This record gives sequence, structure tokens and C-alpha cells, in this order.
Amino acid sequence: MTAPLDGTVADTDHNDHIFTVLVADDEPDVRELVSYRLSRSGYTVIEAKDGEEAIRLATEHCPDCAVIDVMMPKIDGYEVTRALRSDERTRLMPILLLTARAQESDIQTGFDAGADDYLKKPFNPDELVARVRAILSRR
Amino acid sequence: MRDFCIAVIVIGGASTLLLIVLVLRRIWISTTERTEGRIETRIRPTVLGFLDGDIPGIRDLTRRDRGVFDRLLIRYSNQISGSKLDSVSQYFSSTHEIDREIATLLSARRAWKRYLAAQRLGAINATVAGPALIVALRDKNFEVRRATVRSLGRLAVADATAGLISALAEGRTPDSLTLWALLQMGAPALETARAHLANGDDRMKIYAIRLVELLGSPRDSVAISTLVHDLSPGVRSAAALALGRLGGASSLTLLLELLEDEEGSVRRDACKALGRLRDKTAIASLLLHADTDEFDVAMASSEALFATDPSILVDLDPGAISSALMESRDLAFIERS
Repeated sequence: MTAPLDGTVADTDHNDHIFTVLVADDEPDVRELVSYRLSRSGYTVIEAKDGEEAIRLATEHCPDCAVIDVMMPKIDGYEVTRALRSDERTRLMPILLLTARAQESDIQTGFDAGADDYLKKPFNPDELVARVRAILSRR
Repeated sequence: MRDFCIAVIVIGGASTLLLIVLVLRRIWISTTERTEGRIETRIRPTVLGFLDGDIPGIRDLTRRDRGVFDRLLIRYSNQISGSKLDSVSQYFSSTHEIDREIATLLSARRAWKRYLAAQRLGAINATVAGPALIVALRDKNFEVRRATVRSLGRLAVADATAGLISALAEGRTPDSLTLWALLQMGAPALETARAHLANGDDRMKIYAIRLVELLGSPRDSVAISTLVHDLSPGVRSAAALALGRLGGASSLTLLLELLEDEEGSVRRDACKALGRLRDKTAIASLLLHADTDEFDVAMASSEALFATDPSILVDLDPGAISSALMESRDLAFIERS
């Protein structure tokens, strides 16, 4: 097992494969915060600046999980989720939506699009890691 | 001629000087931006580490580094919530930054400075700034008040609830943002709202009802019930909508009574509220009100029928209903499907 920087045990599958997480957000500050926290917890992180890049990276690298912002330029998080769900390579990938729009209808739209979980912005970094860990364990 | 030549030389010289000053200023700004960009790249891991509990990382920073560190820390803090923010507020308290921001918020002459101070105090979790932020709800600039509301919501300053309700009633702050801020305060906001249900000012009363609707329980429907006969149509409408969300023993009876109100807007909101209750005993009354020339009332009534039992609308005989009912029925189907 890999020992992450924060002293916790890295999240791996039964074959000690280190999980890769795709982080898609157009705000650099959020991307850096999420990536840093996930890297410290032992995940390998790939970053996308917009929805288009998120779909491209997801289909190229087939990460184990994706943390996707809802409000992104070009293609929004809901569309990215739908696109990933309709692609054979990423159909089963757990998706966590990160959203400032946390009204009931927005959350419903996210789940309808195929998201597994959502987290409200501003987000708690510890909660983010816990949720990523939880959706990965349910795979 | 001589005077003209002197004037040309003076103007030419002044223009050249101004141009040189502007170019130098631009160079200085670019250099500063580049330098700070490099510092930002270098110390970013330190800031991220600090947010994750690595306090020793900041000891080696120079004074200039500290300035960039502070700005970056505020930007990151704006994006996160939870216990990580405690170390941020402790840090800014130790550097006296919180005191400086409070002073700026309360006394800076330029609105953009007060705006930034209001925003930063919320971002850095400065709970001690609550009283200053409450004062800033009366700032003369709308943007400053907006940033203040956001920070009060972020910090969940319970003492601000009365000030926020009054800001709403006086139209000093945006509705949705202020209601969001009040929702962040939870129970204390509900207590204040309950106390304002008897306020003499109609607008205060309307926002108090709205807040009780959002935060209250069916128990609150008793207090709201007393307002369905208020003299103000706005209060009666707000009370109807609140009863529809809260429920409660007498809500159905009162809402059916409000269907006969003299004001169309109240009848419309009573229909909406009945749609929220979804009680089948209201179907006959709703059908009656769906068949009216008042479009808003007919539409709200049809939507309420759709929410209660869509089959009622499906089974209507097109030959036996008025064109108004047919139109509102069709629109309700379009809206809901």
C-alpha cells in the first residue's frame, strides 16, 4: 500500500492499484484544492479545465472516479455526466458532482444525469475525500 | 509667435513625460505581476499545506511572500468550509488582519475597499466581525451590503437575523441571497421570524412568514393561521403559501376559505398552496376555480389539480368544460410533463 502524505492509508483496490481521480473544474483555485487534498490522501489525480477536456481525459485514461464541477464552460457538469454514462469505457465510473447550485431541483438533475453523489460548494475537503472513498468502495 | 513656440514645447514635453510615466507604470505593474506570479507558484504548496494543518511551513516566508500567502489563503478559504477554516481565522487574527479589515469595512471612504473587506471577513471565517458586519448592512453602497449579507450567511451570525429581515423588508439587500443567509442561521433565525409575525410593518411580516415557511414545522401553522385574515393581501398570500408548505390540522379549511378571497393574487396563492397539500378533498373547489377567466387563478388551480390527482384533468370531457379551463389544463400538462 502507498503511504499518503497525510499519514492515512492510501485508497487502493484488492490488487494495490492506486485509484486515479479525474478532477474537472474551471476555477483553478478549486481544482488545486481538490487535487491537493486527493493527492495527499494517496490518489493519482488528473485535471481538466472544462467539460470538453474532462470527457477527453476520462475516455483516454479511464480514471476510477471523477469529481466534476457543474458550472463549467463549453459543456456543463450534467452534460459531462451524461456523456460519460453513455460511453462504454466510462459507463460505470463513479461520478461526484461539485456544485454551488444545491437546490433540490439541481441535485435531482445531477442524479438524473447519472451522478452517484454530490457535494455543495464551498466544500469541506475532509468530506470530499470521505465521499470519494465511499463511492469508490461501492464500485 | 514666440509664445506659441513655448506653448508647443511645453505641451510636447508634458505629453512625452506623461507617456514615459505611463510606460514605466505599465512596466512596473507587469514586473510586479510576474514576480508575484512566481512567488504564488512557489508558495502554493505551502498555502495548501497550511490549510491541511502544516503550520511550520509558513515560518520561512519573507515579508513579500507573506503578502502573497495571505491573498492566496483568502482565495482558497473562499472555496472551502468546515474545521479547516478555524486555522485560517486564527492565523489572520494573529496577524491583526481581521482588525484591519473591520476598520476598513467601517471607515474606508472608497466603496470597493469596504466591499473587499466585507467579502474577506466572511472568507477568512472572522466570526468576531459579526457586529461590524451587522452595522455594514446599512452601508450606503448596495454592493457592500450584498457582500456583507454573503459573509453574514457564511459565518452564520445569529445576531444578524433581525437586521437581515429588516434589510429584506426595506429592499436594501437582494431577496434570494438574504433568505439564503438567514437559512444558514437555522434555529435563531426561526425564533426571530416567529417574533416578527406580529410586526406592525406588512413587509416585515411577509418576510417573517416566508422564513417560518422555510424553516418551521407544522406546529408553526397555528401562528400563521391568524394571518390569513390580515388586512394586507400580501400577508394573506404569504400566509396561504406557508400553510401549503407547513401543513397542520386547520390548513386545508383555511386555504379553502382563502379561495373565496376578494383579491385574485390571494386566490391564486391559495390554489398553489392546495397543490402543495395534495389533499383530494380540495378537488371540487379547485375544479371550480380552474374554470374562471382569471388566468393566474385558473392556471394555479389546474397545476394544483395536476399535483393532487392528474387523472382528474385527463378525464375532463372537452365538450363540457369552458375554454379557460381547457387552456389552463393543457398548460398545466405542458408545465408538468
